[in-house]
Amino acid sequence: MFQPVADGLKMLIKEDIVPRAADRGAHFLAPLLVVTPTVLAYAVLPMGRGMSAVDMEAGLLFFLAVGGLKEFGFLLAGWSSRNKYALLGALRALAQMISYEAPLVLAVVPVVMVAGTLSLAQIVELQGFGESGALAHWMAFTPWGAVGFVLFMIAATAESNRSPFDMPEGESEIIAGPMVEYSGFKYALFYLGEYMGLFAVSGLGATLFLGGWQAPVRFLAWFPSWGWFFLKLLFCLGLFIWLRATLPRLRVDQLMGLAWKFLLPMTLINLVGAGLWRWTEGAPAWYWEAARWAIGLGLPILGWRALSAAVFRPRRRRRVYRFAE
Amino acid sequence: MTTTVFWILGAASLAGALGLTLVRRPMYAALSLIVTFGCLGLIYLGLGAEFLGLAQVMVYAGAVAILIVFAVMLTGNREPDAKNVFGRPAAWGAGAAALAGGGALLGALAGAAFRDRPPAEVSAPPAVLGKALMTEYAVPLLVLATLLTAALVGAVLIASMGPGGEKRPEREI
Repeated sequence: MFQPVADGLKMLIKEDIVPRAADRGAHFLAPLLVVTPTVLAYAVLPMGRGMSAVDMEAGLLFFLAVGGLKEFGFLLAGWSSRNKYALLGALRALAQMISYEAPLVLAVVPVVMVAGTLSLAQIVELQGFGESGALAHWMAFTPWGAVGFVLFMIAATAESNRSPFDMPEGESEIIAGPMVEYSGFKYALFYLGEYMGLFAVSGLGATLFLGGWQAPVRFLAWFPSWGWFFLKLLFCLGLFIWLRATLPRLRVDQLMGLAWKFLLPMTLINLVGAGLWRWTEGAPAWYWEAARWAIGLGLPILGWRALSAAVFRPRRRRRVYRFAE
Repeated sequence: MTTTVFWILGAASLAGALGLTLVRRPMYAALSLIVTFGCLGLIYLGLGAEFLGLAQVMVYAGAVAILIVFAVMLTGNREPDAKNVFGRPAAWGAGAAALAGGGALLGALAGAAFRDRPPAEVSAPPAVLGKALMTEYAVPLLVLATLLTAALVGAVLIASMGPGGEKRPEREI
């Protein structure tokens, strides 16, 4: 039962090895640059009714901004180690994180557009029950919200370098990427950064799309707000772990193709869908509402079919492999 | 924002800018550039412009600094020809850009009225900024976008050149 504690302690007191050729200052700085932004990101997450450390006017932007700072830590780690595999891994990590930041941000934009605010606390407030109605107004209960949640989760998986997008680590190809030359406390910091980042981004997904601390139906509202938040957090984490256990790792070119040829256009289509949804609000009759749902569901499905037909078409020519002779 | 915080942040951003120009290793230069951008963002935050400050951190410290490192790596470290700097078209371009930038900065500074203390409360909500960008400042925004596109085309051109300046042969990947 205390095994994790013992493991953690062992990590902290292990010998810290720095390669002789490494750039010592940068080698020391890199893990800190990875962990600090991740911890900062928690400041703006509302974990319950009125339970956010800092209620910022632009909280969502703060979350994304500190997330972007993490990338340089990986580059610094790979460069300062003076190791081919480390640099290769760092370049992979950078290319991946920069590419997937675009769909991540664009998947979030519809929420901001509909909510009309960048404050996470206000976004959660808007997903409550309103004046009447038994069902909460979660963003994920609308067609664009459901699609946006899926897109967000895919981009977030890649952004936090999780399997199936864990090319930067790639044990079987480049050993452990930027972390090759790290040991002891610093290695533990990288791992801490990865898992805390996972928790943070799950919390953001729950906040933006799954109603944050709001209960789904009115008769369950007696359950404490922080309880709801943590249940949703567990749900998102479970999704991540399920994905890791299910899917094999992608190739690098597949990864880039997925980001630029599929996810980015899909998020743009979703943005249009959210705009239409917002524009046609206030239904005068039931058929109007039905048409709204049909358009809202049809647009992303059509986009998905068209894009996958265009991008993931099976190659006609057989792939020819050349081996070293 | 208290004056002490301002002085600390200002000194740190100046130190970062100096480090950027004086340090020889591109990675350290990028690190000091990030320090400068981050401190500028913090100054905006302290002045009450939350959106602007966070956008500064996200776009410049998060993405632009790293893209600059990428650009340095992709173009290869060609040593500049120290003997004849003015014979190179790049030097003329850089000189012209520096003159134009410095001139614009001087003009802006000469026209600005410095007050002893900043206005008490500045508020720049994102909605106001967005509306201003799309209506009043639409033309400058478009001009900037054109400039960035031109820079992108130039970057592709430079990246497609070999170390000696000749065009790289097309390769099968």
